Amino acid sequence: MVAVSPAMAEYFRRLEENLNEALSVAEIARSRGYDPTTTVEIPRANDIGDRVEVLVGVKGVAERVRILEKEMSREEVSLKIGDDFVAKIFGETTREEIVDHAIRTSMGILTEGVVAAPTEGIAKVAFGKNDDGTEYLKVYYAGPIRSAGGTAQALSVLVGDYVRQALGIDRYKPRKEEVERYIEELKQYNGIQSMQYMPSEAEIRLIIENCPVCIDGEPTEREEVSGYRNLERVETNTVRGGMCLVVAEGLALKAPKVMKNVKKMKMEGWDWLQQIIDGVASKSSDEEEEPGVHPKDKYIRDLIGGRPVFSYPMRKGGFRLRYGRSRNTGFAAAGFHPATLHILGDYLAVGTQMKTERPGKAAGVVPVDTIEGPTVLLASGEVRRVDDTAEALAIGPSIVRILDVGEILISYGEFLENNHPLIPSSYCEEWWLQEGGPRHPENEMEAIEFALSGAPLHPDYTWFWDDLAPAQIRRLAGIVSERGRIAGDALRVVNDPELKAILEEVLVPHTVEGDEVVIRTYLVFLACLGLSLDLNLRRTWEDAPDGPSLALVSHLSGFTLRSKAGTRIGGRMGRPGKSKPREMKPAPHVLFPVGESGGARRSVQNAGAYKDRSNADGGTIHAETGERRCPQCGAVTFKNRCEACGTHTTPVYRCPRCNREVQGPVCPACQGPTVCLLETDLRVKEEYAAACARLGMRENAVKLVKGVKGMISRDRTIEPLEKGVLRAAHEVYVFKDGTVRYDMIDLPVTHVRPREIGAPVERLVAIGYTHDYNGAPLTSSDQVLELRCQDILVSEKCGDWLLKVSQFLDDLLEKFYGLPRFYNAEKPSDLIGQMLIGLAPHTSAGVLCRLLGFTKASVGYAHPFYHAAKRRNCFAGDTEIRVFEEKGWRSMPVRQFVLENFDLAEPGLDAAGTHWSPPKRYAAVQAVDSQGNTKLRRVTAVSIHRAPKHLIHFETARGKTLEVTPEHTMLVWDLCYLRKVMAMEVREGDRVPVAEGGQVIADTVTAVRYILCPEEQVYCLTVAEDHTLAANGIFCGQCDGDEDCVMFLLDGLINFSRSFLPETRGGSMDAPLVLTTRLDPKEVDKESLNVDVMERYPLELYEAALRYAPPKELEKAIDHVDLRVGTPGQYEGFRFTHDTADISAGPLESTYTTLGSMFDKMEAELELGEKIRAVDVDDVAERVLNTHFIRDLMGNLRAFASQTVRCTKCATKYRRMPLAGKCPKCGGKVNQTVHEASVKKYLEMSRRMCEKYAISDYTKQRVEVLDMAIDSTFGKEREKQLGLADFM
Amino acid sequence: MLCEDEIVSRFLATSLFVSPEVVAYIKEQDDPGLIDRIIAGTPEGTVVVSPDCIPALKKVRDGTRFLADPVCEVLAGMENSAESIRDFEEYITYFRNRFTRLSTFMRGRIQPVPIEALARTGRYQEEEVSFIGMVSNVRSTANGNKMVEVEDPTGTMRVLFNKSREGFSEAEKILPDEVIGVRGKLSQDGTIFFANTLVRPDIPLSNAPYRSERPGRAVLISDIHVGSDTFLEDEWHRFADWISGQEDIGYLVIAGDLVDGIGIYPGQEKELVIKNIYQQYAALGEMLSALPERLTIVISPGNHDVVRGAEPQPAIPPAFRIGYPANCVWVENPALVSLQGVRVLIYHGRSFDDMIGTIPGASYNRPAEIMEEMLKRRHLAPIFGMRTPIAPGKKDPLIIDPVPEVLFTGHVHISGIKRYRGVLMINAGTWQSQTAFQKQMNTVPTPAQAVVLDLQSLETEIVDFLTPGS
Repeated sequence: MVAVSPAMAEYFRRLEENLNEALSVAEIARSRGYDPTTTVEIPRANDIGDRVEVLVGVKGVAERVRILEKEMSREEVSLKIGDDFVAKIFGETTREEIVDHAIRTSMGILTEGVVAAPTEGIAKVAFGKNDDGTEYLKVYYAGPIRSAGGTAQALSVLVGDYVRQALGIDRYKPRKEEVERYIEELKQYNGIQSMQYMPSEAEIRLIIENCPVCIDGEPTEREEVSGYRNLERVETNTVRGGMCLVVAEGLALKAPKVMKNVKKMKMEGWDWLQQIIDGVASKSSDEEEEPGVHPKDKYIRDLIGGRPVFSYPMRKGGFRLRYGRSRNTGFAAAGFHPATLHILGDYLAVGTQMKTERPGKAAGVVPVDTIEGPTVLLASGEVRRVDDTAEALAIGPSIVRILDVGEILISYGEFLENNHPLIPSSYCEEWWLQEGGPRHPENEMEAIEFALSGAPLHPDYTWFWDDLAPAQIRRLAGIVSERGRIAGDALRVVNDPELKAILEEVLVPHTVEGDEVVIRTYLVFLACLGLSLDLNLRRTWEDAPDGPSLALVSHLSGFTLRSKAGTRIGGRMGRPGKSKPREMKPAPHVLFPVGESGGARRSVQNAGAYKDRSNADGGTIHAETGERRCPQCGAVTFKNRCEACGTHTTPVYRCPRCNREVQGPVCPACQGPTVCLLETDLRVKEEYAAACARLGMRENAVKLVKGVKGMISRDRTIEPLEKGVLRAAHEVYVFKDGTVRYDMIDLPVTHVRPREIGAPVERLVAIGYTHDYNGAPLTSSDQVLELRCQDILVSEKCGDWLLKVSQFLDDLLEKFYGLPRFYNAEKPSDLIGQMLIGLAPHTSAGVLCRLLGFTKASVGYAHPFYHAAKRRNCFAGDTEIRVFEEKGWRSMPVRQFVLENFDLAEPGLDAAGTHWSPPKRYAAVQAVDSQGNTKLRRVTAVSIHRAPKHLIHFETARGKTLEVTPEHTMLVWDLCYLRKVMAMEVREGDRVPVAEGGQVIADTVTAVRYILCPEEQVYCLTVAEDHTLAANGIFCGQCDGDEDCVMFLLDGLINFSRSFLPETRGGSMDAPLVLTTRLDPKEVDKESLNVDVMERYPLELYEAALRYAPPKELEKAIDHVDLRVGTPGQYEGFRFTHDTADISAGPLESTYTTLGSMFDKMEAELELGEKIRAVDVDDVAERVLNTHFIRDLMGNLRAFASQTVRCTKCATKYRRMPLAGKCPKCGGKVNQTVHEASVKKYLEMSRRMCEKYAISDYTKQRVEVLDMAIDSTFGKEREKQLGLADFM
Repeated sequence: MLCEDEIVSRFLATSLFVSPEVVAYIKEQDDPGLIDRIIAGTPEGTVVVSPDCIPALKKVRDGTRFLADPVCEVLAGMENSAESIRDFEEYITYFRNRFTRLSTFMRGRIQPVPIEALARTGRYQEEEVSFIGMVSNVRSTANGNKMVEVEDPTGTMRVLFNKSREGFSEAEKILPDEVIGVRGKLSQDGTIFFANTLVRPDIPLSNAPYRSERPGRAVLISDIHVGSDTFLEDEWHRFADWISGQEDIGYLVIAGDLVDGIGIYPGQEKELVIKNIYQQYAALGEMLSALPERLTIVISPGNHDVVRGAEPQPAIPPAFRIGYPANCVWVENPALVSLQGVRVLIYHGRSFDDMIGTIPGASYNRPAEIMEEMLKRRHLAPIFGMRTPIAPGKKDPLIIDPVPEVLFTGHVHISGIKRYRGVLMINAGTWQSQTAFQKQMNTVPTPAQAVVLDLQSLETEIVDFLTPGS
């Protein structure tokens, strides 16, 4: 039982109660028989055991897992459970079943029962014959195995071996040509998708020759191998992506972890792993152990036009690190002063991702107003620090230069999470207070008194002396002494450019009056320069040291001084936040087929008006639906409820080959797959009329009800049309699984104020928030409450949307199911306390949560546990790619590498959705280039654990298959950047980056099998699409990581059905197959355990940081969740070091999203870059040219001359122009997919940038050469220069 | 329908062996009487029946050729013939031109019906018919057969090649966008065509290469990659010294990738010793100026060159020709050049990348095999839409027509020489040592080789400059 306090127990009880209430309503609704099944299809799962049981579908597993977990680590459980299967205790009958269930179950356990790998990643198991007559085990891996992560992939092989031995089956003895086939195929796959790691030939040979289980796979790519074809024991000539992943990213890359388990379980026949470990280890030995830290420019390597850089790596004027955790930071979110957010052009809004230099790759932006804001130079010559949001907005236009962008608040937990050495903090009051500072000084005189009595000088009066060279300090002292005077409470010095420049470095606030610079806080300033009040050099100058600067001023003044700058951290804008309803494209209201006759809008009404020929009655279309039969009267229908007798119908399966009815998914006679298919003349018009009548609505009450073209699920189950009419009436759209959802970026928050979340105090008290975080009774809306872990805040826009959905659901209950209304909400705040389901991209487990309030920002705020429970370790981040990946892709954006060196052996290290454990040591893996140059570098588009990025295997119009691993994240072009989506979310027709001949270009996905680019701190796990994973020819991207969605609990319970899910592999990703009802910190993503919960960091931290100590050193000294696991304290009693007045302060929408064209974005970016001291704008321009514009120009130019065409009428795509010159299918006009204008869109801008900024000759010539190539392709005459806006 | 075994055994019965080409010819003609006529016409003492023995087949090149003065003449691909794309619709014209011209090459051998006629009328069902089409899609079926979608301007048809039929290995090599002829039967319902025989445009069996009437030698090189840090400068100087001493060499032909270029692949900047594109060309200009003036230097661009990537690639623009000797002839890619009447088709070879990835068993190590596939298809870059961009025009300049004496390519950096039906295929290697990319891909180039072509005998010799003194 989870350790909880009585208060938490009460909280969980309430949740349970609410859940049960919803369940009972849903059960009645479902029992009416209008839905695909008569029972609720989202089972509840409280722990891993339950989730696995539901996911894999083997009864009794949950109980065994619970028992075994008490005795051993999770990895051991995953192996041991195999014994139970061998003993047939779960009722398996055949050997295949035993092995199959054992492997799936253990994969489920290893991946926390949240990802689709166990069900979708393994296609089947089979037995083969060795040449000596013995049998061996073959495991067929499929694309989605990517979602499992390398370790779980590798361990699944181990499980197979374990079970195999127990069953007395011999090992796999590969033939020579089979080994060569593996080598060829892996190489080819790596060419297609770029794996995280490509083993050498010798490694592959070693693995295949020794691995006791035959790693086989389903064909995932489009390419076939060319050398070792038609082998007797290898069923396909097509490249098998799943197999390649398991060999390369699993066994080869994760050999150390596998070895650990082998030893623990005392398994035999795996000693050869040691050779791989030794081999791999020797390769990475040259990795530098760096003392201190050095600038890292990785985060600006792939610059996308329009996303500004705010600070170059460790450059003067960049973000200054301050340690601390505010209510809303930690867990990959960093705090900035709202004034900073505004002054940086409003680019950073709440929830915007920022790519950072360190400690992790990315951070979510949140406002914290108790830290320092930026220091700016105004047109009047005044230099001032801005710590007030209103002031920041007021002076905005008069800022000529941003000398310092202000502080960045990062928690200790982030360093721990990323295993990044601690780095010196900027000098701040909380540190000063622990070093003997008695209290905040009232004025400069008092600060000096404190300093003289032993404490260091207070940070408010500490200027940036260490940014100056000692010679500059001498020079400054000289100038002030010669040309200064003290008059009227201020130091006045005759202005000149040299003096001004130095003052703008040391950042002492000053103004310019006439020809004099006026410094009002001059006492400390003079003391530090070794000047007396009459501006003469004091005697301390006589024995002044040469340097360093800080020691010099300390000597001159006699104060102890600490660095005000501390460590500067670079950052640039990543992805803007997002908050909008989930809509498929085109967005349907109902899963009801309308075929071609619905038109491009898939209108049910249009389909109803369709006439086969003129004069016919019309309203009937031909459609493929599922075949269902009424058990009562035997009527055959496509509906879920028999029209004749009202009985719930059941699907009928037939074998298309044997043409007979069979039970289950496989034909017993021919072993072929069965189908559930009824070719129907669908009377759309009548159906629609009947639906409206049943709802008591007029037929023209809604103008447009949108259906889908055809059904894609196995059973081709359709939804009752009534649901569509009601959704249309309330303007909500259905997702592929029958639910309606809202997507939001995720941010962590541990404490809230009623005032900032729009929740009335009485309401909060009513739902259990009776006391504030200090234990005082809740009476005022300004008190701080500690957030319960399953309560969430959504954006106000989401609140409006929820209101619409609740009305839809109420209407549905009342008019369709004949049940009482449930929500009865009139305004969003009426919904506070209602239950929702939270779901992260690419997961299969939803998390039960409760609506607590609304934020103005376009983000979702929730407890770190909640985020972690859904997290599937995807990569976060866009890959910007390159890619295209960069890999990723990339390119494209592709992106990335991940650190891999997790210590699998540590117990309890699996994170939800991915396998994760803390790195054993600080190790960099090979990096992949996310931009896309794929083949040269290894990019991974796979999911990885640590960094966000990602994918699935896709086929594209250019004949690539990409992958991002299915579980990888993939990249999709979104306007001008590649958006990451899981590979599984990539749809046909999406444009993905592909690498061709060293360049990255955009390609269109024509078939989705499964892409990537991870970045950020999130772990990525998936590789979904990536295949591009990049790369891979395609680049994968990183996943966006923290975006997830919410839906109403009741919506999920009533409207969700597995039978709507697409038949394709990966179809069950992103669907709430199970519901986690109670969060156990032990079982959520381990990242949340690194959230620190102290009110003040100890002095030790600051001192350790000065030595660049590893964060682990302070693990015990700083209270964080990990230390509390297993006690009631794991849920409550959290504190924070910095408060903030409003968690939605600062810009609410990023400038990036409000600027229209790339031209405007680029202009604005460069203009801002010119203002910021910490940014080298010439370099920004060059990087954007290189990583974005030139790539785009090259890619599109090439794409133009190898483009696909598309029929304007039926949208069929052709790889090349048909000879007929028109669409062979429908005779429609075929049109180009790449236009001259899109090839040229960045040309003019690139040329202008070359003229305006100091761009290297190399880059300039590249633009020049491209310009010539474009001329020669399209002809010289540029009759008119189209405005850029014409193309955007 | 004659099958191979039957043909071979008919010849064996009269103690004759028969060459595979003859078998293929007989199959194509599908005339059982032909075998007797061939046997009858075979001279006494013949052991192997070669195409020469086919009565109707006379070598067609009579040796008369009107030579231009000077002796080096650009027949196709002269400077400024590549046009810009005016209209996207030109792709229709382009592919139709490809279809029409390539089908002409097959018309003597099969009697095609339009696809539309196949599908529309019932009269072809169950009867052996032939048609010609351009491949729009190729895939393997679950049973390992090949399903090929082909189209002509009138319609589309699915063609199934059964793996158990003879000649399936050729069907496995069917590429998207090549033009093929098939003979076989239409299915009952008229939706699938079961192919018996696959016919390609191919080089006529009767092809006999022209040989120069007077002595003369040409040197063929490609992929110099000036500017790269792996360009083999010393080896080049050895080559320059050697060629200065070879008085009878009158021509130097370069098949593209003259310089390493800029921005061709990511991170290229780090691998360049000359980062300025103008200076790269200037360096090559200097190198060529040092060669004897008697040489006519034919220069064609490649994918690393400064011109557009879409083929046909225009000749190197005048802005980059500063410092080059006057004896340079600037041509496009591809280009057909007559050297003393010997026609050399110069093509850089971008399409190797696509074809090697698509043809089973193809390897970068054996470029000549791929060149043979080009000849069989009478097309330099059959696959559209992959790595070889193609700029459409009224005529398809990538069609191999007329049949040249020599097909000369580069790009893969591995030399290879082979003959196919009288056409000499030459890939000339490179002047760049193994690059980082090649190391990663495990390809080993054959750098610093020059192929010497005797125009009179059409014999070749490879001269290696990699080691000093050789």
